[in-house]
Amino acid sequence: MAASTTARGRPGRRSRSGWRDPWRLAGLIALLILLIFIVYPQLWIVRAAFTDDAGAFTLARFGAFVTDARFTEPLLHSVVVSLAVGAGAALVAVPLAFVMARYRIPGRQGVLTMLTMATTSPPFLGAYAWLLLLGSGGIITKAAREAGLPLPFESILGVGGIIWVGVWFTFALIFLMVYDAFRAVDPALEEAAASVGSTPWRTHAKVTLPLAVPAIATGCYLAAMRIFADFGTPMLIGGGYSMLPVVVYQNFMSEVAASPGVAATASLMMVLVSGLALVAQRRIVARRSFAVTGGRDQPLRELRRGPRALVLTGIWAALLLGFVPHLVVVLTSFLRWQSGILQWEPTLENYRRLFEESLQPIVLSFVFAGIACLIALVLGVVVAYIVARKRFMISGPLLNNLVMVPYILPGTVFAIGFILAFNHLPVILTGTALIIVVAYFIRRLPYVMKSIETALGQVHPSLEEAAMSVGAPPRRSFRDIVVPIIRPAVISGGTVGFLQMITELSATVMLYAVPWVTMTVVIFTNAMQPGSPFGVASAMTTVLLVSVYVPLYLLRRRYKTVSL
Amino acid sequence: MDISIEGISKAFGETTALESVDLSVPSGRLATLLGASGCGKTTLLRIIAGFETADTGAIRFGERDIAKVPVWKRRIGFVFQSYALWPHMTVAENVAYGLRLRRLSKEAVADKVATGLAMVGLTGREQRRPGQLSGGQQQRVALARALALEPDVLLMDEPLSNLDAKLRVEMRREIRRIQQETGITAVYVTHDQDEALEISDLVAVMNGGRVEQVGAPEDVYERPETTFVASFVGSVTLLRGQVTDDGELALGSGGKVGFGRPLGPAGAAVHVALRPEDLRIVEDGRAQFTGKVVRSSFQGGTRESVAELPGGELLAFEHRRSLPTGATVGLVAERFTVVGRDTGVA
Repeated sequence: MAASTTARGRPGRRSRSGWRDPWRLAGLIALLILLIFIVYPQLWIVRAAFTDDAGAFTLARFGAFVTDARFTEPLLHSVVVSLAVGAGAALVAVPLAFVMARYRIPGRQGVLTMLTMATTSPPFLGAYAWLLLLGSGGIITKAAREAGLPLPFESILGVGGIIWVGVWFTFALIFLMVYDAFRAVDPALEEAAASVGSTPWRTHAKVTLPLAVPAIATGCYLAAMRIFADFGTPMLIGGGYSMLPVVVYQNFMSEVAASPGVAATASLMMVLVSGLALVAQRRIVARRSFAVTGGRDQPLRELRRGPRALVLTGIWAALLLGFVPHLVVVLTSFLRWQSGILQWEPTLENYRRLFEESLQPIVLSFVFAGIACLIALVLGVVVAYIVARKRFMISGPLLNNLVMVPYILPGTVFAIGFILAFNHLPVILTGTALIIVVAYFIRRLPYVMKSIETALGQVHPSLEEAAMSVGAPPRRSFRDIVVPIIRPAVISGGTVGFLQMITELSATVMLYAVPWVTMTVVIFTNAMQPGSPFGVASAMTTVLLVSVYVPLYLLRRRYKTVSL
Repeated sequence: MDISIEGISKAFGETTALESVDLSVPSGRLATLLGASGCGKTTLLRIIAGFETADTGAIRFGERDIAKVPVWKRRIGFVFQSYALWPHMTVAENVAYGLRLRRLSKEAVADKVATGLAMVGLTGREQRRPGQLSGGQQQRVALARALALEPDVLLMDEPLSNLDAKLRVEMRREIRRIQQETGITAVYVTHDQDEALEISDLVAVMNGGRVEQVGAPEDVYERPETTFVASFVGSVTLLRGQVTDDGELALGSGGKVGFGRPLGPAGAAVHVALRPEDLRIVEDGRAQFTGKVVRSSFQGGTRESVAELPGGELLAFEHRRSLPTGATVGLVAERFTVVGRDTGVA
């Protein structure tokens, strides 16, 4: 009898004490932030897409996307280019990754470091630099014309150029993922295949390659999505080849024929495509996810001289092509430009002008990315901790799913949502610096949060319980035990987030308002105007590269590996 | 400080982890919660610690009801199965952490850390990181850390299960020594009956979320109250049958065995528990059981063999000299226990 009365009394008390948990309040605040900055803007996009210009409900815009060539074309173009880039990058990356994973290659660490660097290169850099080289007035095209050499193409502008730039921009991403997968294959599996009479080539085809399929799929997905969501590349070198981010941008920003409704519809198409791509990638990975860890490390085998020379040539050629943009930009930043034409004359003039006239964008880029990074870290820790440790019935799963939404939102779409949602009451942010900061931290939150969640997974709950058992209240044990242990992951996740924010263009170019101009915006607007000071833009890109690679180098030196 | 637990129940969703558990541990004694995995022993320990809250029931340390006292104010020491040493702190820092939280002076902290590490035999390892220690050493640090604050109760969750067999025996004696030297009340969770029998003042055998029997190790071993306890603690043969009118045991297979005294009221269904060491081989006609040896294993000091009785029952017994398989043996039970409650076998 007594037991049954206490039974009724207890649950009430327990849930009340549960509500006193400070994590619950933090979770609710985080949830509120995510609802305001992720869900609310998306609702405005949906609303705009289903509203005609007169303000009535319509389905016509989606109809047009299936029937009207003005829309079916960019949709098709975007999908084709993304697939082509994914396939092309895999074609370059997978064989190289396999050879690097299995054979003794001189300079392995250097190659791996350079590939890591290549993955954090600013997204529009390739387009900008290749334009300088192979544009209609480009360095190589002009030199060839003057020398009377025939080039197989007029200029790099067009679909071929986008794919070319895209492949060299993304192959390092696939390489690193697939390389890790090949290294993780337990040699015993291959020895087992050999022991039942499989030839080495057959073993590669039937055992090793299938084991790496999840990594290849994930790498291709990431590569394809990078180019699918990239606004800078098709805008700079598309040469009229229409792709979705450009359609969205032009329909939204154009002063003559602006149609937010069309832009919103195109945005939803983009989200739909990237959502479907994610589903496809998940299915491939889920169906073929084998546990191959454990066991021995792959031994590195020797290559014969001939094949080794071939392999080395391949690796360095790929690296060179991947780093052509960097070299071009750094080189041209030290050369004199006159009304858009390169003079082969070394100078520091570009840097002098940069620091005299355009110091502010540099400072602003650092300030925006820095603040956004700190907010993303704080919110990332809160969300990751709640997802990993707390069993909140409602806010837990909501946070876990909501925080990943920006992962499939291309920057352009993100920006449109922000403009539609925050250019009127109750929240007005357009035209302020804050809108850029908020966009940065929300967009990078999924990445930061995942890296912290992974680190938290390695902090066994008993470590915190042990602290409580010796008298530390939860807040104290979090500070003294959890924070120090996850600090490397937080620093690493934060640094990578910072790098991606400081190189962000797709959303920034739509959200910025004078005077809140960032480095990427300055470079982009310069590259879009023939005859503009390319030298200063190159100098600024060089500054941007330094601000990306110095932190990355420090991080890699300190923590040996960097997960992107 | 004594611990008293009354009517503790706990469910995780649909599954019941604990069902109305009562237990009291007198001050200065070591009690083990013994049972197979999933029996609720760890849940009970975590409720005593305050890591979990019970759905119903009361826990007291001494006179104080601690149901609403959070872990960090309970004055407990907890030793985890995974050691749970903080990897970013040295051995000394691990032990000192709780002391520093109490705002003791630097000298007092250093003093207590030195004493604690000396007690577990780790003097000289102060500046090592947990990762640089062996499993046994890590568990010693965990013990020193748990005891440094001189807690009211010491709780240990399978502290030795990650160690190898020889170290386990050494460490459990060490734990018992330290517990007796400090006179602390302790609760120790284990699935290893040897461990429980060797170090405990009190063994609570748990099964399916209930405590089946609480008693001194000798009681639990020699006078099991349920078939589960009899079969879980030590090696045993359980003969199942009905008490006949003249007090003998009628086996299911039809045979009848007399034990020299009535086993209970006629008609009652009982189990008779026979330990291998309580059976003796006899040559003459006094044998209670006659069976064929079906297997025999040499265990160093003794041999343990199994005889098959005519009805098919298997009876394990201990002896010294070797027996060929197939030989017929006559056995007499020098001691036996009648077990009334059938709770299944382990």
